[in-house]
Parts: sequence; C-alpha cells; structure tokens
Amino acid sequence: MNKALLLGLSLLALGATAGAQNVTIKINGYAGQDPAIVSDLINRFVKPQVAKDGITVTYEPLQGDYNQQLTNLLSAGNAGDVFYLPGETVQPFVATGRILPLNGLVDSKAFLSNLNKTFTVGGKLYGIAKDFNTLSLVYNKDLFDEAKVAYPNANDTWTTLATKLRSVRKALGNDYYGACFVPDYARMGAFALANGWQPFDAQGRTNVQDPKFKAAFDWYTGLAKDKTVVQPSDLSTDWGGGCFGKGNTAIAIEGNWITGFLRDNAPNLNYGTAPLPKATSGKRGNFLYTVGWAINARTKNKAAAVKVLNALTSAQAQQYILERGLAIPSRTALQTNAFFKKTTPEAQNASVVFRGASDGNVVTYTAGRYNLGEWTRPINEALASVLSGKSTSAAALQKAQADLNTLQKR
Amino acid sequence: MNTQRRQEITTALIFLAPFLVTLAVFFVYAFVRALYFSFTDYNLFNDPTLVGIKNYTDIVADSLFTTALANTLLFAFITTFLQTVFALIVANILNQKIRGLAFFRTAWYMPSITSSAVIGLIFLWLLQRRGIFNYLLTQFLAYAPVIGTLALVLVAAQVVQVLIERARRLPASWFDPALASVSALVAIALTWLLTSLGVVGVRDVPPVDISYYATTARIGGVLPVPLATIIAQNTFTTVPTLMLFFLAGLQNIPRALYEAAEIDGATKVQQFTRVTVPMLRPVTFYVITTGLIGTLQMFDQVAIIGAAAPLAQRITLAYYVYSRAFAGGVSEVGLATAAAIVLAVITLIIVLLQRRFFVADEAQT
Amino acid sequence: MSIAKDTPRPPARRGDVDDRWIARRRWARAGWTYLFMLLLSFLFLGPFLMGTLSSLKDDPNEYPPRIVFPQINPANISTAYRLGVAGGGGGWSGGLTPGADIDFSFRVRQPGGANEIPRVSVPARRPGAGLGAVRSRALANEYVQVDGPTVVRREGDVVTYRVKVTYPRLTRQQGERVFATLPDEQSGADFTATVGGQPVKITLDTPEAQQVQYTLGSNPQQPVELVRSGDRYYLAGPLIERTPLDVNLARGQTFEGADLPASDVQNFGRAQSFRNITPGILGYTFNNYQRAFRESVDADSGQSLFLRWTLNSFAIAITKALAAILFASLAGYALARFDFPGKNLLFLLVLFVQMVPLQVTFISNYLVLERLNLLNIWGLLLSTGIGAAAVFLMKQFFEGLPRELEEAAALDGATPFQTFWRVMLPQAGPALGALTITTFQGAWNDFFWPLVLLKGNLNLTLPIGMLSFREAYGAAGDYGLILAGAVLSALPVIVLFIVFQRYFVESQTGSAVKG
Repeated sequence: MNKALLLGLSLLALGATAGAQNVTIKINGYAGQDPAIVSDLINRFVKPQVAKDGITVTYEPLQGDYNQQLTNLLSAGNAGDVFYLPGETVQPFVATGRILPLNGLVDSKAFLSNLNKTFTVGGKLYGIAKDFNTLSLVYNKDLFDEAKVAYPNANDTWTTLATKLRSVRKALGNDYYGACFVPDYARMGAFALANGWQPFDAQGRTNVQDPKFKAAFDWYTGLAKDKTVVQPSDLSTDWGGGCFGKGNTAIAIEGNWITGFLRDNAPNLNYGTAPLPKATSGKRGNFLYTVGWAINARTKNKAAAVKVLNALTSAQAQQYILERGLAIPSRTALQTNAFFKKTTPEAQNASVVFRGASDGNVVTYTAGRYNLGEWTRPINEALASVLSGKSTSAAALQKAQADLNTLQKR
Repeated sequence: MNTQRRQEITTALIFLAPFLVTLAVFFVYAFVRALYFSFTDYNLFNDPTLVGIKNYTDIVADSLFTTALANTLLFAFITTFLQTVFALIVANILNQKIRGLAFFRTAWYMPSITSSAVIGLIFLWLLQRRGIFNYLLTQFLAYAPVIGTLALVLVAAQVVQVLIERARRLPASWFDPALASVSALVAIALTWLLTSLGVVGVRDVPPVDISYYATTARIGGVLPVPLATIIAQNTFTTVPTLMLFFLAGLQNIPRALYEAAEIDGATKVQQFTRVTVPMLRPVTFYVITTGLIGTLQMFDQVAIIGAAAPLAQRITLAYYVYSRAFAGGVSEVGLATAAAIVLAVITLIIVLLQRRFFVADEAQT
Repeated sequence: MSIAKDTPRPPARRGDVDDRWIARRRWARAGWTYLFMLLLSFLFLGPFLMGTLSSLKDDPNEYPPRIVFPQINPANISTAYRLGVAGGGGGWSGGLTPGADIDFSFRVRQPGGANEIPRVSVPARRPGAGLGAVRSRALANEYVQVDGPTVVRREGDVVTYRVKVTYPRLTRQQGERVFATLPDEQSGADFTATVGGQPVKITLDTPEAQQVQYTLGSNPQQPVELVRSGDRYYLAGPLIERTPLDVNLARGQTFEGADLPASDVQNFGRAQSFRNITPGILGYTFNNYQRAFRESVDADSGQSLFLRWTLNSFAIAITKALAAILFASLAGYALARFDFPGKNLLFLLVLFVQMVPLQVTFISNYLVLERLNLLNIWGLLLSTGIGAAAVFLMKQFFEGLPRELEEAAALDGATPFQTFWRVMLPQAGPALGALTITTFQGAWNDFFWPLVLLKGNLNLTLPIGMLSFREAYGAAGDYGLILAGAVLSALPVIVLFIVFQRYFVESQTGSAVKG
C-alpha cells in the first residue's frame, strides 16, 4: 500500500513537473526532404500526444555528411535528444557510449525482427527502425510489350531474367538496354547474398573469392559483355533510376526511392515491380537499408524523449507516411494495410519492397565494425574494372581480396 | 626615457590586443593541443591518454594515408607549375598597350571570384561521360580533317609569303602578323572551297567516352584522372588572377632596361631571360609561395566531387584529416592530428626550400 | 608570344620598309591580339555561359547538347506567356486559377487506318522529392474539366486536335476577387480562411464547393480565391501551381508537335506528357530557378533558404572585411612602428601561421567554440576575424610609409591612437582596398571551416548550402537544380565585382607586385 502511494505521488510529481516546465525535445536528422516530412509528422502525430505534457518538439536537420555531423554534435554534447541512427553506422556510434539502450523503455515486438536485429548490439537494442527499404526490380511495361517479351515476375531466376533482357534488346535495337548496373556492392551484393554468400564468416573475415560470391559477381558483370547492361554514365546519369527514367532501359534494380524520382522525372512511364530474381539455389537475397530513431544517452528528458520516439513510430504515423508514398513502415502489422493492395505502380512497388525484408537471405547494408566506405571500396573497384572491361573477374577479385586483407589486419 | 619606452610597449600591446587574443586561442593553443592529440588515443568521447608515436607509425602503415600524401604532392607541384607557367605566358602575350584591356580583365577575372563550390559543381557537370567536354572533343575529332586542312594551308601560305618578302629583302619574321592575316584569309577560303567540293569533310566518329570521375585510371600510371580534373579546374580558376599579377609586374619594368639591352645587342630571348625574368622575381616568388601553400591544403573539390569518384583517386591529406576526424561514431582524432602535423611539416619544408632556392638564385644574378 | 613582343627590326638596306608597311603590321598585330583575347574570354567564361544556358533546359544532361532548345525559342516563350494568361495566373508566373479556360492543341500523324482519337487527361501529379513531396497542395485533376480532343484541321495524314481545359468556379456569386490562404487546420464546423491576417468564414454555396471542402481543407496554407459579395466570402476555388496534361496515342500514330514541346516522352513517342500547360514564362523557361526557390524553404518558418544563405554569406564577408580594416591594421601598425620585446618572435609567428594548414588547428578550435556555444556564424567570425595574412599585409604597407607624418602629429601632442586613426589610416587607402577585397572574397568562398562549423539549415553560407542540392535522390545529381543554384549563388558576387571591378583587379595585382 505504501508502495502504491509512493508510486502515485511520484507520478503526480512527474506530471506536475512536466506540466509546469516547458521541456523541449530536439530531433536531429537528415536534410533534404526530411525536414518537411518530420515536421509534418511532428505536427500531426507528436504534438497532439505530448502537448499536454508541456513538451515542445523541434527538428534540426544536419547538412552535409550526416554521420560526421552527428559525431561532432555527440562529442560536443549538444546532439538532439532524439536522432536518426543510420543502420550502417550502428556499431561505431554505439561504441561512443552516447546511445541509450531502449530495452524496457520501448516495446520493439511490433517491428520487423530483421530490422530490430540491425539495431541490436551485444544483446541491447539501440534504435527503432524509422522506415526501411529493400531492393526491387522495376520494369518498363511499354518496352516489354513492344518487344513482345513476358514481364519479369516472381519466378524469374538469374538465367531467365538475363534471357528476357537479351530478348528485349534484340527486339528493340541498340538504343535500348536491359538495365544500368552500377559498380557498387550496394546492388551487386544482394545477388551474392541470394547465392548463400555471407559478408563475414565466423571469424569476422570477408571472402570475396568464395565461389558463391564469384558466381554472383560474374552474373552481374557478365551482362555487360554484350552491352545488355551498361553503366549509368553511359547514359549520362549517375544511378540506375536515372537510366530507367529515360525510358530506354528495360529494368532497374532499386529501392522504393525510385518511385519518387519517377513521379518527378518520368511521370508517364508505365512501370511495374517484381521481386529480385532467384539464384540457382532458388533463394533470393536482399539488403535492408534502414535508419532508426535513437535516444541520446545524455538527454536531460529521458521520459519525454521516449514519448516522442513512440509517437514518431506509432502505427498511425507510419500508416500516414506509407499512404503518402514517402517511406516503407517498419511495423509488421502494416503488411495487411490496404495501401499495399492498391494497383497503382507506386503501391505495388511499396508492397514488393516491404515483402523483400523477409524473403530469403536478407541482411542489413552495413560493414559491421568497419567503415562502410573503406570496406566496400575494394569490391566496388573490382566491379568497376570488370564492368568497364579493364580486368577479368578473377584478377579483380584477387586484388580486392588483397585490399580487404590489409584492411582487416589493421 | 624609461617611461617613454614603457609607454610604447603598453601602446603596442593595446594595439595588438585583439590580434594577440585570437592568435593565442585559435592558433597557439590549437596548435599545441593538436600536437598533444597526435600523441594520444583521443577519439572525441574518451579522456586522452598518451600512446607515444603510435599514431605516426599507424598512418605511415595506412595505405590510404600514403595515397593521400602522394596525391597531395602531385597535386601541389603540378598545379603550381602549370598555373605559374600559363599565367606567365599569357601575360607576356598581353603585355602591350591595348585599348579595352579593362573590359577583358573583368571577363577573365570571373573564374577567380566565383566560389569553389560553384565551379566544382559546374565542372562536375561539364566532365560527365556524356557531358559537354566530351561532346566538344567528339566534335573536334569529327572536324579534324577540316581543322587540319585549315592549319596546313595557313602554315604553307605563311611560309610562302615570308619567303617572298625576304626575297624582296624585307625584314619579315616567321610570325609576321600582317602576313599571317593574309594567310588566315587564304586558309579559310581554300578550306571552304575544299569542303564544299567535298574533298575534305566532317568525319563520322563515335562519341568520345572518357570517364573523368568514376575511374581508376591514372595518367602515366601515376596521376589519378579525377585528381587531374581538379588540377585543370584549379589552374583554370587561378591563371586569370596570376596572369594579372604578372601583367602588373611586367608593366612595372622600365622600358629603359629593354632599350639598354637592345643597344648591347641582346636578342629577344636574352632580353626575356636577362631582363624580364629577374625583374619578375618578386611576383614569381609570391605566386609560387602562395600557390604551394594553397594547393597543399586542397580540400574543397575533393569534398564536392564526393562519392562521384573513388576515394583513392581523389583523397588529399587535408581530406584524409577531415574524414578521420569525423568519420561517424568513435573518431580517430589522434590519427587525424598526426596526419595534419605531417601536412604542416611538409608545407614548411617545401616553402623553406623554395625560399632558399629563390634567394640563392637571386644572389647569382 | 613573339606575335606580341615583336618590335620592328632595323630597316634593311633595300626594299620599301616605309611607314605604311609598319602601320600595316601594327594593325594586324592588334587584330591578332584582340582575337587571342577573345579566345581567352571564351575559355574563361565558357563554363559559366554553358552552365547558365543549360540551367534553362529541362534536361541539362541531354546528349548531344543543343545550343538552341525549346526553352529559349521565342515562339515557345510567347506561347508559355499566352497559356499563363489563359490559366489566370499571369503570363509570368503561370498557374491555374478559378474561371480559367485553356485551349491547347497538338498534331498527330495518322496514316491510313490509325484513326483512333488520342486519349487526353489531366493526371494527378504530385512532386516526388523535395519539399513539394510533403507539402500537400490542391491538384489540378480534382478541379478541371477536360473537353476534347476535337479535330480542328486535317492536312493529309496530319490531324490537329484541340483540348479545352476549364476550371469552373465553385461559386455562383459575383463580386470582388479576394485572395486568401487556408489555415493549418480547419477547426470547428465552419470552413475558414485567412484574408490579410484575419480569419473569415467561407460560404460554400454550390454542391461542388461543398464536395471539395474536406480534401481542400487538409492542405495547410493552401492559397485560395474567394469572392466577396456583401459581407460574405464565397469559395471560388484553390490556386493551383501547375496543370499537367497527358496525351496517349494509339499504335501506328506519331506525334507531330504541340503548342509547347512535351516535357516527358515515353512508350516510343506515344505517351507525351506536359508538366504544365499553364506555365507562364517563369514556369517554362526558368522552371529550374522556380524550383530552386520552391524546393529550398525552411520547413518551420517558411523562409527561403536560398535568400537566407546569401544574406549569411554577405553578413560574414562584410563583417570580416570591417574587422580586418580595424584590427589587422592596428596590429600591423604596431608591428611596423613600435618596438617591444618579442616583436621579432611575433613577426615570425605571423609568417608561420600563414603556412600551417587549417587542418592542424580545426579540431581544437571546434572544441573551443563548441564549449563557448558558438557553433554558428559568430563563432566563424570570432575564430577567423583577424587573419595573420591581413596583419602581415598591413605591416608591410605601414613600413613603406615615411615617418615624418607621425613625427609631426606627435609634435602636435596627438596620442598614438589619434595618430593612427587620423593620420596613418587615411594614408592606407590602397592597402585597405586590397585588404577589404581579398578578405571579402576569401570569406565568400570559404569552404572547409564553415563546413565543419556551421549547423542547422538557417545558419549555412552559400557554398555549404549549395551542396544540399546534390542530395536530392541520394548522390544522384539533379543538374537542372544544381546549375540553377550555382548561377543564383554566383550572381551577387558577380554583380558586386562588376561594380567594384577596378578596385578588385588593381588591389590584387598591387599586393602581389609589392609582396
């Protein structure tokens, strides 16, 4: 009884202080279009919930390299109470000791388990996925119709997809291509994963000379030999979506971000979405690109920060974001959302991307304890030299392995 | 006497106070602290502890550091050399009394006044694989027969005319401007005729396809292509300014010196090496010193190019320091400051060597 | 080189080297020099001119690049103007307002058999990125009626069609037109809008108006047109930014052209899409510039970021120039004229500072300013306000001045500061000019330190802010926006330069020759 009374009193006191004081929760996140989205979320879903507690919420975007800026602010002690934690830099940031473990503060069961895994280090959860993306295959229906080739679909394997792309090119002539492939692990890696390759073995080492990796590498670069696949710079753009928007590439391997781009740059492009093709093993692979919400371990208003975080990741907020076509929600329950059943190209893409998170070998796009840029550099250089025909895949992979070994010795 | 001296010292200190304060805080303290950090394991989040010279041995072993060092030195020397030489040449051509120079000066100054961010973004756009620059190269190759004909006829016509003039015992030089105008007219007319007759014409060439950023190619096996674009860009932005420096220097040289040299029977080349070059020494020294200091600290373009080019192909020491200092999460500040100190030492050595070289050279003449 | 430096050789003994021969050569030489100067100008200005020209294009990356493109075609510009007027938003800024009535025609080649009438629609088209993607605005497709296409003319196989797009007013009342904005949220039973800062109740007098009440009400800050009749306001309809139009042809038909060229073409030329058929000149020719402003707005305050960055850059550059004039010349004067212990050491330090890269000191400076809570423009000013180079320049200059002036002043009983302020500083005009301009230019173009130091959208300077234009759709470049931004951010300093160019050039060359 005493206990209950105490609890009641302390709750009262808590309520009183929160109501009296004007607590400000500062949020740090990306620049670009994020300020508008988050401000919108704050106005619609956060303010109504926390205003009665006297909490005001502000969003402060970090210009330039987000990771560098967040490091600056964290070390200086003036980072926001709540901030974005990019999936690929979870480990280095957790190592600073400035990220608050969320176990016991936030209920994480409602979120996709693959996403929670991304933000878990040493058994502790450090972030809640804000949203996520995986790779999908978008295809230009007009090109396939004109070439009288069947659309790519969920049953396609590497071989059947390659055949379809070659047929499209054969039917439409040399001004049309199968796809633009970038020399980037962020795309090619998904195929290696499909083949059962693992970025890090039990000792935490990377082996790119693994036959499973090499087979995927050869498939990805092999399409370039007869120009079925070109590089984006061949078409004076710098990513696969840019090529696709021009209307002369049959497919693109991109995440849900491509839909926003097409809405602006190729609004009348008639496209559809299929999952990535299956490897010979019959499995798919995919990357999870995700950014989470994390709380500053040194925040002066922990309770308020948790409240804001919960409001930002609430089911209503995520549903709103999904229906506006802005991002893919991280809550498992939303997979039955009516939006995913719509037939618009954008909704279909969102649905494929959402399902991609739990279809086959899916890992977060990260380099573990390494710096992502340094770790992917050898692989990307190998891809670039083979895609441009300057090197054979065996030689390129040997060099990449040597570079990775040096990195791993440090 | 003594009070007067004390007064002078006080006045000097008052005058110097604002400068001394900022100098002390933002330079001396910062410098000493950087030196200290370079011997610690500081990572922004811990209390620094001394680790001896570990950071220095670590960066020497870091292949990215050695790449950055090589890139920085290549960049600094090549850029300084190119911009100085080009500026000197152009200034010499323009060193004459001409109306309307002021107007042209305004135009040429434009690259120097716009920010590196603006120029960097414009160059990034120009130098795409299917960009304006490659397009112009393609056009040049396509028109090569026509341009070749034009040049060939021009040279031939000039040679013939000069020989005729000389046969008439007129003192015509090979570059006689009046004859060159006639040669140019002849060349244009003849080329036009040949083109319309279909003897020479535009070739069909495939589009030039050079990637300037997303490439691992190195010029001569040494100079990364993306770095070469930054060199070109830096030269482009500094030549106009430096050229005007040289031009001012040239116009300060008294005519009497040349006249005296001429009376002594000095040739044009001798006049250039004996009069122009020594008289321009102060300007040249200034241009080279500031050029070296500036280029050794190259950062802007590397950051602006960003992910468009592989890191090893563009990284400089300044960028290495920056990327190590704020890499995301725990940061290797010790490593970064060690690299920064190395950069400072290199700058100092190069500037001192350069100074010695210049001063010694001056003593000779 | 020798073209310019050739001077006439001494006349040969024979041959007619007369005045005319020499004059001819001189004229020719001048001609060649001007030609050379013109070429240099092309070289140095070329990238800017190409950039500026291409910033007007829909796709600055088109290959092969064109010098003449639809956006600068006078016929298209005048059509854009006419359509802007028809849309009701005016010939310059374009847009779609209630009561608009737009005729848009296009031509289709229909060889025998392909007689199907093209399908025409006004689609729902929201921006996909930037602020536009989030801000919800009334879209044209919810308010317009499309009539047609009707055949206007047949010439052989080519058929000209006309589409009529009308935007009927949502009220039957007549009266004064009033522009208003909707509030962030409709609260209560009344539909309200803000007219000149005052909330007013709006009467929805037609079923059409009542029908859009909820969709329209969910667009915060949506501009609308009202009609005032008596003391009541009636809703005429929202002001819409653009009117997209899609034309889809049947197989076998080819598109032959339209009032304005399509902004996007797919499906082998059979899907023609017009971003905006009521663009006005700004929306058509200067579309990228309009975007640069529309897509860089602070989400909270609605302030134009571009303008803000420009003001920040100006504020920093001017303050730094003023600080240099006052403090650097004081310090330079003290170093030049006074004798005090450690003077040589200080001078050596001044030389040394100029050689030490910023990368050595920036981490400590960052930590210091962070401790002082000055990670902003003020911190930038404090840390770089008095440059060693400026002190050095002023010291060199004051050393070159004769001492007599000060001695005369000292005899008159002036204090050292009075001597400095009244006698010496006025003498320093040329050096101060050089100092001001180099400082201004340096501050304007400064990149590394502001990049490290400045936080928050509103605090940035132009060069740093410009980088954010590269970030739309990840690393991919939206070059239309980038080039427009580059041109806009270079413009103020170019204007400044043209006005003060005499000082710019002379000051810099002067400092070099003396240095």
